Amino acid sequence: MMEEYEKKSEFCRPAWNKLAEFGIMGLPFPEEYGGAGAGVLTTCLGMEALAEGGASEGLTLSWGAHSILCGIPIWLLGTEEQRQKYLTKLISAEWIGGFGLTEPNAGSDAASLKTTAVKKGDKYILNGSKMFITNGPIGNVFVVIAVTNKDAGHFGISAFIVESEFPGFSVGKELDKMGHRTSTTSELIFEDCEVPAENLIGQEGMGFVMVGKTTLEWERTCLLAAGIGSIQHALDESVRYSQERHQFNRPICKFPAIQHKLADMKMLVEGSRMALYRAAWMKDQGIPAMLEASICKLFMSESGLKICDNAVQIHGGYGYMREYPVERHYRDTKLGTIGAGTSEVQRQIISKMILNPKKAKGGK
Amino acid sequence: MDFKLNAQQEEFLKKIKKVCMEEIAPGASEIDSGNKFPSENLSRLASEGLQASMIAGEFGGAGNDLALGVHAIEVVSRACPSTGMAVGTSMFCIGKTIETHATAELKKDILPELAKGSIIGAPAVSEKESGSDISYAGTTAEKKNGAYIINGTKICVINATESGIILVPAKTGDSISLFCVDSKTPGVKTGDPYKTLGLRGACACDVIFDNCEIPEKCLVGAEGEGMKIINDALDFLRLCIAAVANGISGAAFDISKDFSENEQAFGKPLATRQPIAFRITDIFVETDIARMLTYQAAWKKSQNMNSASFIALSKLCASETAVRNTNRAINVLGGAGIVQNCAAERLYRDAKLTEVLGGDSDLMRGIVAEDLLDE
Repeated sequence: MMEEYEKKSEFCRPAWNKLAEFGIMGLPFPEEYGGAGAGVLTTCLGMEALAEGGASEGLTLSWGAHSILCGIPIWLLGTEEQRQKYLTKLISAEWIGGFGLTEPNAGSDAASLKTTAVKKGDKYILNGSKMFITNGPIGNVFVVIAVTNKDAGHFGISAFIVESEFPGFSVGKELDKMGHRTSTTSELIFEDCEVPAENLIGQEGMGFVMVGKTTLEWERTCLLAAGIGSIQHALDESVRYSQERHQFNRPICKFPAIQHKLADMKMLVEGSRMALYRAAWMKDQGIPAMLEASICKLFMSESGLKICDNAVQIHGGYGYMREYPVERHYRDTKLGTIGAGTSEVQRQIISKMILNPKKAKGGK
Repeated sequence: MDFKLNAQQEEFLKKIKKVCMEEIAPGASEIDSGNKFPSENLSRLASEGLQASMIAGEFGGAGNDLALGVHAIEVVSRACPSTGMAVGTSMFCIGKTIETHATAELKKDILPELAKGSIIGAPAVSEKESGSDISYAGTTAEKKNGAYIINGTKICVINATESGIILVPAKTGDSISLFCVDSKTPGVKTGDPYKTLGLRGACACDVIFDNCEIPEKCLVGAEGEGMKIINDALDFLRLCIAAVANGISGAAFDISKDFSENEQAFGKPLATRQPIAFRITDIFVETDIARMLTYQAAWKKSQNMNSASFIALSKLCASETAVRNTNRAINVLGGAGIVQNCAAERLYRDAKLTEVLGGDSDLMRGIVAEDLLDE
């Protein structure tokens, strides 16, 4: 079913509803809101299984924006009213959610955010725009990060729940992406967009802390879990193809050059899996996992590129054709080293945590 | 799934680490330059209970599993890879193989001695005509009057110059059997230590068996079952080599971190330079991944799971990671990393041996692929 939507580059509503039926939307959330109450590790295993079964990365990306990026902050930092009003609708899939942090001129550099929120009476007035927003064209509700006090740096940033029906909210044209084509993406535009004051998440000024401490760690584990399933799928497809494809009177898997590629892929898959399970396990144990989540994100995404490159190579000419899933994996996997903080940003985060340069000595 | 050792094990590792950093690391360079077997280090580690750590309680050991073992060998190798390789080979490839497959009598003879550190073991697997292909063994064991007569030459036997016991696969008729030979047996001759590229302290040399007569009880496992047991012994050896490689990677991180934090270039610490900081980050991340795979492989092996391919995978990953990381360390240290007998240069040479010993990377990839294609 997904292949057809993949070709059309369209969101697959039937598959989405199927996921909701299986309770995937509410996997990490408490039962009182209609969720499954699964831990981080279990949520990861669920996403892994989904992707390993060959579900398109587009679908799992949309899930991530919906359940993790939009759902998690509302659950962990929102008020009871916000949870009742929004989380339940996300879990039942009545609504689709998304998350807006990135701007046209601000990626991981949160200090250069330009979208502002000014309090006026019982409302906040939002102005600005958000870029590359997953589920943008189809979302009903978004968690949006905006500057409430530009003099307070990281503590001048707040998070809001914005419905797509709020006055002053609009969506830009759908963006045409290299991969993840069953997930729709667009710009979100705020022109004097009116957001009720009770839709502020947590306290004013908590927006950045929230992004850093809660959402991104979840993002770098649960969202990546689908990634591990995808690279496993790329490996499985390559193993199968190498056994079926005959050249020079034997299956190509008999050639060491092919075998060694498969072995390298397996090594990277298992390394990624360990990094993922550890980060998820630590989160479940309540152990801070900022470093481990970044390691996982960095290693898995860069491994993904190598794995999918090998997968296409093993498939030869067929791997270059759209009808083979490895062609899709090759394009989809590139998002890994870009989204949720590029590899360079991850290296920057990790290097700051492991290195402690001594102050320069005087005169030297 | 659990990613932590228990408190007692953590405590033990802390103790080993202290001894390694304070007493063993300072002598690492001398062991390398002198091609010197690290006997004193092994005695010191035995006094801390390292050699006894994985041996069962009834034989004088502490009964820990392989996961603790790979952690411990990594700690030792971070201070001195040669010492880690020497002691690890004995603990893993000899100790664990004897414990798993030998008769009760042989275990009672050997394990308490290994635990005390009064003897160490050497694996004599390779021959000139056959590196990793054991089935091709030219060494023979002929049964005669309740004894075996061994003839043949083994090459690249780690620890052989100092060993008390040698594990030897030999042909008995058409099949392979495994023997545990006391190195003082008449007819056992060890050659001069090789001048190897790295891991020079874990002195490798030839071992010649010339009408070497050993009692029947020295047979490990049943006659003709040698191949199966050697595969097990190789699993243990590869776990050890992976741990040594991870220790080398850890040391590459240590020297890079230390140098970059303290040395200035153009008025700023090197660690503030992005290419340097990112290079050290890559050392850190890849070491972390290799370690997790090694711990997981050790855990699988101790659970008696079918783990040969996962062990091969972790050895492949750890050794190639160590080679990349020591290469990076030299790039961090620059001119300070290319001087003979500096740590970076020594580690760079040591790392390469982990890729080659115990079956090279090509062989490891073959094992991993075979298992993948078999599923």
